[in-house]
Amino acid sequence: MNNTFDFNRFSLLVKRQWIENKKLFLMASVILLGLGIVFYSFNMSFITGKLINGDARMVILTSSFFVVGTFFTNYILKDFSNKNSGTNFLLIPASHLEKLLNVAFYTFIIFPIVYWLLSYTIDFAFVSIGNNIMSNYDNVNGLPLVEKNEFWLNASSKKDTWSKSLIFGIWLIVQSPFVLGSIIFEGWAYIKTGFAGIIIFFLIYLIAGIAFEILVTDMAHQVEVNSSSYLQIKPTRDSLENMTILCLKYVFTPILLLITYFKLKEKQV
Amino acid sequence: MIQIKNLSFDYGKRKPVFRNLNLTLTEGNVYGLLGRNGAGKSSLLRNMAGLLFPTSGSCVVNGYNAQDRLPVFLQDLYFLPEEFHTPPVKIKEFVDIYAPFYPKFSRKQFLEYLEEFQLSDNEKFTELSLGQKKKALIGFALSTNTKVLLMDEPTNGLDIPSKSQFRKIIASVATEERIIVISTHQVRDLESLIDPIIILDNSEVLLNATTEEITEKLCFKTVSTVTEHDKVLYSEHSLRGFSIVTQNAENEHSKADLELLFNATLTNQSQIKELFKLEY
Repeated sequence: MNNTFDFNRFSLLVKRQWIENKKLFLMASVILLGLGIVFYSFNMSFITGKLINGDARMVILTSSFFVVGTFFTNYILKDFSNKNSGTNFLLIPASHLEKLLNVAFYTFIIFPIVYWLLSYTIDFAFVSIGNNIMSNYDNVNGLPLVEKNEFWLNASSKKDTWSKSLIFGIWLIVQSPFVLGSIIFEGWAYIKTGFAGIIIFFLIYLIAGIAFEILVTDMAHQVEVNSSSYLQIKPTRDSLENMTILCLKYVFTPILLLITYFKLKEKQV
Repeated sequence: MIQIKNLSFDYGKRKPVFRNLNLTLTEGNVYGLLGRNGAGKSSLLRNMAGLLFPTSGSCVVNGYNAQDRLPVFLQDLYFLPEEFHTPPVKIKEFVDIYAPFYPKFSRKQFLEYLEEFQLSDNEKFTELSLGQKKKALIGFALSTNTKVLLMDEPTNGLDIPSKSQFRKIIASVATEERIIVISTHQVRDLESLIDPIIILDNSEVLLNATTEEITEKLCFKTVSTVTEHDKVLYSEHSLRGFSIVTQNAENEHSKADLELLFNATLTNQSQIKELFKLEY
């Protein structure tokens, strides 16, 4: 018997999560859809058909993706907010890895898919409605009166800075502390994680600032090897920044998930 | 087999619960775990289930270190805590979710228990009383057919008919291969069921003996007046005089009264320990 990972046990955990929470998941999706409709309705002129521009929509939808995501992550791990449900969760005959992967499956795969599917559906519907209204004004002197609305997806895909992988990467960095926090903190996990996250973020920011000052090279720190070449003994600001971004992209989330795994193994109720 | 060796456990330095506890529980028994509030009954069960970890020593259940919580260990152990969680689903959905994790689970057996407890698997947990929820979970626990069954105060919240149904069902599932450990305050509810008896107090095991061993060494009787006070381990007023516990020096036959035994053990800890000389 494989005590580390068994696909059958993993799928049973996924099924358990769905059956126990399906009503809430569906209700939350409907609420999200409703909020989206309200937001778009307030930001579209039903006379001209003009919506707020794609960038603004993207900023709002992405911000809400981050916030709603942390709520969802906290909810998925709600079993640990209470001794009784924690007992029930820990005693399910499945490995810690399977339990963590089940959480990761809902947090990092199902949630983003459902969220963006809902967002694109609303965007598609309102852009179509708006453009339909605009088409009534199309024939004045053969020129459109108002510039047509663009689908958010099209608008964002044209811009490098709004790269979806970057947004998703940052989103993962924000979510993973909430996974860890839900296991470490018993009560008020969401608020405690938020506070801890802010404090740690500022500490890192301060330390990074100091480290940059100390480590980053300037011409005075370059050693003259001979008259025509210089040996650089300290990294440049660019290289340190690149290294930091690289760490944030590929190291931060896996390390936090690894810590979460060990915390789950050590969890006592 | 459950083997606890030199187990120490505490909730922080100021609150030690066990110190070098040794205990061996074998198959084919329904152990009754007794102790006053805070003696550590629930903590001991949680250590056995791998929910709490010893600060030192070990707790090995069926050959597995409990704190590893391996699937192979968990699928052969069921722990029903005193306060439990039930998801907001129907009983049959609960079974659909959790039963596949237990290879020896019997749906037929489960439906029989539900019938015995007058419950339907179509009922929602949210619509059941605490006692009814507990009955459904007891039915589920027994139907998992796990080798180890740990129950913390299982009769709390059960009505009088349910208590006797519970005794009947437990007696029917207490097989030679199974270890059942029941922690309880309500010894009268389970007097006829639990054997051997384990009494915990002051971070240690004061008594671990079968009722046969207990009645061999102790005598439980009712007398009109208490004479020979030095021989009486414990006495208390009863309707017909005094209920007393004495050493069974004359090999008298008596029926073990668990409540008297418990009180006698707590008031004469060193004498009881000496009398039963715990060996593991």
